[in-house]
Amino acid sequence: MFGEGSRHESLINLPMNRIAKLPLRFLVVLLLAATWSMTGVFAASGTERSESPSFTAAKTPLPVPRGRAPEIPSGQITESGVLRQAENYLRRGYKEVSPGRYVSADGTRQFRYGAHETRNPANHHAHFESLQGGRVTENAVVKIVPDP
Amino acid sequence: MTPINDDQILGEVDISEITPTGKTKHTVDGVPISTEAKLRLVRLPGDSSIYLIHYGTNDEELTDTCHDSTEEALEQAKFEYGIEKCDWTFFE
Repeated sequence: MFGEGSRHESLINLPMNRIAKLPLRFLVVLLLAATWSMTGVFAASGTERSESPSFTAAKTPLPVPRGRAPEIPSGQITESGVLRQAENYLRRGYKEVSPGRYVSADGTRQFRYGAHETRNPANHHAHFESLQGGRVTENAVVKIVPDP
Repeated sequence: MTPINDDQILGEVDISEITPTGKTKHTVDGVPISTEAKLRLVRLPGDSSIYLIHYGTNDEELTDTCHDSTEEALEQAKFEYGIEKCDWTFFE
């Protein structure tokens, strides 16, 4: 691989006056090789080069866990930040199932901020909850503080 | 939290001697709650939901969960403490 790479680089670095003298067919092959090298077409085509562990490692992104719930906020949140945090937590498609109680589209996350949570100004709070099979498995009470 | 009126309490159970199942994690401001003494089922005015409220040893409210019905709240209590409906004292 190193040999190929260094040869390839030296061809790219040829002066323009020397490139102009090369046969057209060779220039086309050179252009295609450079394009394939930049776009990783060798990896996609399943050729021997794509099976090289070092080449694959360089091109493959790290695996990202799918379907993982966002982390539950904890501690304190400002008044202006609580709804933004709630929307980040619930993600798109959430529903209000009863006044002040919101459930994510997949039914695994709940946010509560209703009359019960706001009835005492000295203890203004919200609940961020995880649900599993209809049961609450995590319940984080977060204090809501005035904006600075 | 403001005190709950007696007529809003539907039932209660002593959990001071019961070890939680550990299936639910409760935190307040990022700190896990501890020394729970009592659970109450509460219906608040103007709210059709049933609250399962957790109380500490000084009868202070620690946290709560919110449910569509009394049966759902009882199921949550069973999930967290293994207590059955017959363990509860009901007031209505």
